[in-house]
Amino acid sequence: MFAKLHFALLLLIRSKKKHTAIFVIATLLIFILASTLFISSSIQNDLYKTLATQADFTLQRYRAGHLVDAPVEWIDTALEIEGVKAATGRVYGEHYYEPKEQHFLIIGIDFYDTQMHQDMQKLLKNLDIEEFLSRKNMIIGSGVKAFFDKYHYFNSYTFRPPERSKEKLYIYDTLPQESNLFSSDVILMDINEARKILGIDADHVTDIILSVPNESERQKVYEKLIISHFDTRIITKEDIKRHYQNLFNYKGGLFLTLYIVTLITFLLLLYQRYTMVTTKERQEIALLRSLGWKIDAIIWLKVGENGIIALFAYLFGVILAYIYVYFLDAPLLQAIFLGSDNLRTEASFTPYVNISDLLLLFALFVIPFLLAIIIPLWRLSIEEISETLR
Amino acid sequence: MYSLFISPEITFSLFLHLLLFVLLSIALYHTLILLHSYKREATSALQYSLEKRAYLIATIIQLSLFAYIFLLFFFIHTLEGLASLLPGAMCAAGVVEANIYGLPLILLHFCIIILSLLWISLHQEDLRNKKSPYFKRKFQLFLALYMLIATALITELLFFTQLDFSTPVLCCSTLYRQSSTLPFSLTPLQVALLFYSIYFLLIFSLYKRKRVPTLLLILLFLPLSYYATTYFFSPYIYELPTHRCPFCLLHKEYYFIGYFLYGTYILALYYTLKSCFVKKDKNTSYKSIFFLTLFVFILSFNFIKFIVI
Repeated sequence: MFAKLHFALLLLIRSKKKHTAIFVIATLLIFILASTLFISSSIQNDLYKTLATQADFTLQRYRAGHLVDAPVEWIDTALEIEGVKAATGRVYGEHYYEPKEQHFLIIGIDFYDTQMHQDMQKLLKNLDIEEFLSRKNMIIGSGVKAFFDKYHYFNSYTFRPPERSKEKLYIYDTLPQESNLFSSDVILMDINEARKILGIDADHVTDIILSVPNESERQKVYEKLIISHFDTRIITKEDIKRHYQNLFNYKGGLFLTLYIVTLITFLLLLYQRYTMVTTKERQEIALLRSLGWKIDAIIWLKVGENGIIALFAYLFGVILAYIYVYFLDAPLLQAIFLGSDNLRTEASFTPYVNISDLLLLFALFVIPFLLAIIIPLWRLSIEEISETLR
Repeated sequence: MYSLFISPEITFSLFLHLLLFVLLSIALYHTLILLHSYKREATSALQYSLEKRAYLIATIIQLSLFAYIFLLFFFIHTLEGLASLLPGAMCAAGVVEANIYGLPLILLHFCIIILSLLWISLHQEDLRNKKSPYFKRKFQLFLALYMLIATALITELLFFTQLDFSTPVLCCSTLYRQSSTLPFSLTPLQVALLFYSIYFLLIFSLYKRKRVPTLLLILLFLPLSYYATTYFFSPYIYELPTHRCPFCLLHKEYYFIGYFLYGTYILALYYTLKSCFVKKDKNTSYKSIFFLTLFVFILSFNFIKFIVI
């Protein structure tokens, strides 16, 4: 078997030119598909990692289908439920920069709250709170920083709250680069400043997050939360995860369905290539047969030859895609996945390779590749020897 | 129909199976012509063209088999992935039990792989022998194989289209909780004892190369190994007395032991059937003994470890 593979390899090397076109197209096909797979699995992985540190329940108040601010008393009623370990109100919202149609995410932080979110604690580890609160300060994401620099807000920026006043905030610091994907358009500030700018009353919050550490208590807590107020909507961590998964499956499915169309075209190309072969190739096969090779041995030799091409195209395409996505940060494709209508996110992807995705790609590429060429190969190898050799 | 696109794996599993089916249908067309007018002794031009057709059919079947083996594992992997989308399901068991087509589908895939492995061994024997004694029989066998594959494809379509992502399904710990579902109201321990005794008898009959007892024993061994794996051995592998499931074995937490287990199981079954029907020599019998023993060893490794330590 190895001798035959060796022979197939020698044949391949001898007639490189014949296979170049197929190899290049196949590599390109794999490269594009593998890059999208890498990008989406990397984003998905990052999202799930972020999700793992999120709150178990998010309590929101809805009136007539609109999200409205929830009263602060709700935090206390939530804390009275058995099993709820912590409940925190959050104040956040979008700030719209009208001239450029951009929006930033303003997050208000209660710096004296000990139950602050873990991620926030990590971000603000080296922050001197006394100094930060000594005047109206804010911490901005790198996307916001770039935007402010462009429009010459080097030191401060003046917000216009709903009650027609002016709020001038000084830029204190910029958030670190590695958390870029989610924090690029973020502005962090003191909770009272955020309330003023977003127009939220002092006794209201945007929503309330709850932590219920015991998994088996969650269902009961959920039911109790539902009956405690009739205008709430409760989002669980599982809801968010399922939503993400559906979204990714949908996007991936759409992309892969398009890929099927491309693949079928490619298969047709392969089929054509082996239906119309040169006399030289016919003679090669006829020669082998006259040397005593059986028909199926010749078919398998050719299948092996194409298998080698498919394998190398696959490996080459995947490696290229890996370099393109994780070292070069996918220059063109990035915009499709992250969206570029708002502040530009200069994200770099965290390397994450899903083995099952690669296997899927392999099955989807190599199996049809080999199936497409069997019939023309068979036709080729049963041709009359004497006719061809003459 | 929406459920066909809920996960890319489903779309692709179906696409590849459809592609294989088209190719196998071409093979079927050639097979029918072949079976209709094949005469071994004839020296007509038609006879020569038929002989050439046989090469095409053989190549298609062999390539499809490789694809099918890959696709079986891929299919199981797909079911694993669906478990997180179906409410209530913790592993593939819940997905398989989500509608009535799940279990037949997996059994059909198993049958297809074993039958096509047998087909290949028959084909190789046929090529080795100058008289080609199995020539017509192997193409008749292909007709049966084709029927199975067509049924599997229809079942797969039905299974995926009828998958309802809003109704909760049972998870494996509920499905396999009661051992009262065991036939003849056996206890799991009795099943395990029966399993071991049948195994030793099977090995003995394979060693002696007695065909009929081997066949009867392997027929007994098949359901027994399923029940023994699920109800007796799996808790030892999970190291959790309440956890019984044949599908969670495929998880990463248990080092993908399920793939090895079911792989050796298929190989053992294949060699046993081969020794009964195709090649009745010593070597095949020994191979089947080897894979049977490997299967039993992997299965009972944790059980033995538990008893010894």
